[in-house]
Amino acid sequence: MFCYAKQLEYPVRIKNCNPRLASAIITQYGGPDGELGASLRYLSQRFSMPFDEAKGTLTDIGTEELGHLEMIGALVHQLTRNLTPEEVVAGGFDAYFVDHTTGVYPQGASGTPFTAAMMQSTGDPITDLNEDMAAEGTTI
Amino acid sequence: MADQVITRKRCTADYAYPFAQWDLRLYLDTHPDDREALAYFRTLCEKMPDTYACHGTMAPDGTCDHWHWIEGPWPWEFEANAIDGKICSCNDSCCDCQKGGR
Repeated sequence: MFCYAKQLEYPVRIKNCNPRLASAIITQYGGPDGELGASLRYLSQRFSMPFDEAKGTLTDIGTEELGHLEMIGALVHQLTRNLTPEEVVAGGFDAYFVDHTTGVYPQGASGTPFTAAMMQSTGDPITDLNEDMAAEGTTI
Repeated sequence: MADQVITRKRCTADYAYPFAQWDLRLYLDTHPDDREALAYFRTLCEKMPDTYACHGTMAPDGTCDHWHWIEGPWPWEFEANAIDGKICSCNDSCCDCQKGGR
């Protein structure tokens, strides 16, 4: 079961709106190496892990990734509040805006909606752990 | 607690302690018998209890020689879903479950 702690893991305080930056940051929300993919990857792979250490680790990491998803959502939300139509166009944000306005929608920067094709859960622990490292490797 | 219902003013410690507790929790998931880490986790949870990071991890009697959080069965496993000690809810005497004493 999942409980919700009503606090971000780290505070998000964006003083200046920046829709152009939001168009890039959104990829960490619903893009191929983003937090939604990370959460689903770990929370799905844990079922077929053979050892308690792995079950616990993947459960806790997957849970934390949901917390990261929330922070990225907060970032996009704060970067795009109070936009004028001119700012939307000037920021190259018009294509996203016409479908989602200032709502937060899980997609990559290129506009591709999130899909489970961005992750894998093979049932083989070594393969799955390698896939985790490959996905995290983009951050390192 | 009212603090958890109404979003209140937060200070640095409100973010720092849970973050440290959570990081230690991840370490203990793969090092469940590390006594130094267990003691440090206990210290952090005493300094700020009831956080999302401590939740469900401390043994009720406070013993701290092993990280029990990772112990099975995990919720998705068959054995974890017995109610009142029984996995099979049928009362049919020729059911395999009854014969196996489950």
